[in-house]
Amino acid sequence: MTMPKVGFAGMTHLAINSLAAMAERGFTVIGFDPDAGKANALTSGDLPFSEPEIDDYLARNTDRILFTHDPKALAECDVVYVAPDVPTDDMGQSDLTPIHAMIDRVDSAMRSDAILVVLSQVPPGFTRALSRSKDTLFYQVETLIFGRAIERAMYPERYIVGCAAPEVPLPEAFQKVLAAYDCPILPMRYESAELCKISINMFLVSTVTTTNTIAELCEKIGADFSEISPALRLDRRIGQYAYLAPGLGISGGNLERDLFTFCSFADEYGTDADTVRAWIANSKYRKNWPARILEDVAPESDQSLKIGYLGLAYKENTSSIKNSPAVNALPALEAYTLQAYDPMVDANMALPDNTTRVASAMEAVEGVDIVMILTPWPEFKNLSVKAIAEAMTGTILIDPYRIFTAADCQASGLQHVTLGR
Amino acid sequence: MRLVILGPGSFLGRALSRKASQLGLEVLPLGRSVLDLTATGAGNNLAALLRPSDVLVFLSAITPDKGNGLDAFNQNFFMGQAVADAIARQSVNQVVYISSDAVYPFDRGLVSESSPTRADSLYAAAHLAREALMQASAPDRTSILRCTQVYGPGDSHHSYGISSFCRSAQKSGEIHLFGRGEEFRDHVFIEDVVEAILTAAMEKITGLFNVVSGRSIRHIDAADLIGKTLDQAVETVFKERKQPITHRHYCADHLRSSLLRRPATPLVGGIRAMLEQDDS
Repeated sequence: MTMPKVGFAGMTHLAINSLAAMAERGFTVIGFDPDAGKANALTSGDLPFSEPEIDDYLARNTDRILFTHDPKALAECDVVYVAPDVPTDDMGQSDLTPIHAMIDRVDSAMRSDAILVVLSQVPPGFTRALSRSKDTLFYQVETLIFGRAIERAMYPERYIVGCAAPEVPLPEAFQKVLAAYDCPILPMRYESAELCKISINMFLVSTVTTTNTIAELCEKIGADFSEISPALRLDRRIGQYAYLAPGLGISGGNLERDLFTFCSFADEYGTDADTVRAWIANSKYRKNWPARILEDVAPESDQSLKIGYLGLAYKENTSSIKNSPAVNALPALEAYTLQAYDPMVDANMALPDNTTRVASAMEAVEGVDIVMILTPWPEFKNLSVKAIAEAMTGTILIDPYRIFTAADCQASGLQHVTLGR
Repeated sequence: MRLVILGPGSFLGRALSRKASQLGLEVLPLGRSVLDLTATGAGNNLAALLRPSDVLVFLSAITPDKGNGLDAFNQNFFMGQAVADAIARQSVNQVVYISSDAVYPFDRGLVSESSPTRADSLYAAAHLAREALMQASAPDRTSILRCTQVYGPGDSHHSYGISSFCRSAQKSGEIHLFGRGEEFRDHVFIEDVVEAILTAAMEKITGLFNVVSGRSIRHIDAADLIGKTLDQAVETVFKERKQPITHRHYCADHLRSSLLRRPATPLVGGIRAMLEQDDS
């Protein structure tokens, strides 16, 4: 068989990065989106997001990539990945309408013997309920990480594939596509794969929550979590890659969606989900740390306190503010005056009246009493602590992600306040 | 909007009336001498005094320092029944019910509004019953404010806490603590409570709120702070502990994002206000 032609339906962050990696791996790829404007913009190289290296990947593979809004182009494909975003509400509940609509459109456009792969985050039972013939229908777990999307797409740790019949070898075209990435391929039943995605995220959340819970106690009893975490990593049962950096709760939308889905299923089928609910409650609690810590470090401040607010995005290298701790904290800070900077979040983002958006980090810290760094943007690491200290009128640097060291701050006359210590 | 205050003669009632009047709000204080909520027909009598646009602030209660047995429970419950009866006869715009953190058991590290309640005392049982009565009588129009220990100038309670420590320190130069004063307790300044009540009333914010400072302190440390603030020698006298050590810690996030949109009055500031007021 010649190299399969691969289609991606729904030009989302996930799909475009996956498509770019696929083209880099030598496949001819078609990127379909019913929105002609989107398809045309992509053809011009105009991406709706920023990811390290994505521009280079697309630029050097243009001869293998076609962006189109014509679904008929998918008829040429041997494998079509369906990857639209699945919107969620504030509780994390998914709206599956868009993905159903996309699947219907794609299903009728592609060949009946071509392979349709659902790549979006869907609840258990979704894939099996689709009407397409089950020997051409698969579910694949995606492991997108914003800010590391190309890396994750190019070098997956493994492929988890949901099948109607896991004991049957994968169709040749699909097998060829997956084999190009030289990683383990794990076929399993649809529901196992769909739940596997949720399970991965639940283990991540459990680690994050345990880390945060321990870190909070460290702050009260004189321990330092950064001294504890290396010992944890050396325990094989926890591992060197565990998420052991204290943070401000879970955000971004995907983890929250999976926790909500799990609780919904648990409620429906009568299994215990109290632990999961505790994670959700803890995440909500963690998001209010900025307001609580301000009361700790400046308990008698009057309302003229000025704060340099660095970061609005929910994490570095993304413009998304979905469930962002930095944004979540703003209502509780309305008693203060904030100068806010973020390198990527939409400049037109609505902010409360007490918050002014400025054009640079140094502008944000100019003349402030307290600096708060609530998104760990890499560029903040390049700032000079000495310059920050000189620009400030106060001496408190609230740095939950340890962008700077306590020693450097102390040397510049700043009090360094962080998580886990 | 008129603020109808049941329990205007209490520590909180007096502070609330004062502040509301300063803000130019119309206030109708209904104390026991005007309306005895435990008397037969009290509901009817209260209803006759209410208007549809009123915000009814229900503060009246027999507190544990004045009685914690069945009689106090009954009186508290009858008051709740009377108010519920009155609202059923004459609807009001909003009910602000002042409840207590006594409804929370002591076996939880950090208490928030989503923490389970448990009636470990008759006082707690009465509050839980009254909360239910208010919510049933005025669904979607009820604000429940569960207050932790309230302290401040003019506090007449004799309960074990900041106010009694301050009075004792000033009067005798001594603060008496059970055990070694190890237990953590939260104390909320009276002005913060008043602000929370008025915000709930003036902005018609309904729901459940813990009115707390969110910063608990050990009694021994509170005693030390009082001594430092008084700037005089205060002797801490340790007495035999009669109850096991328990702790109270609260999450103030929900309060901070709704009714009290600023940091709580720090304890040192509240203590200073108490000592200066009692000095003058």
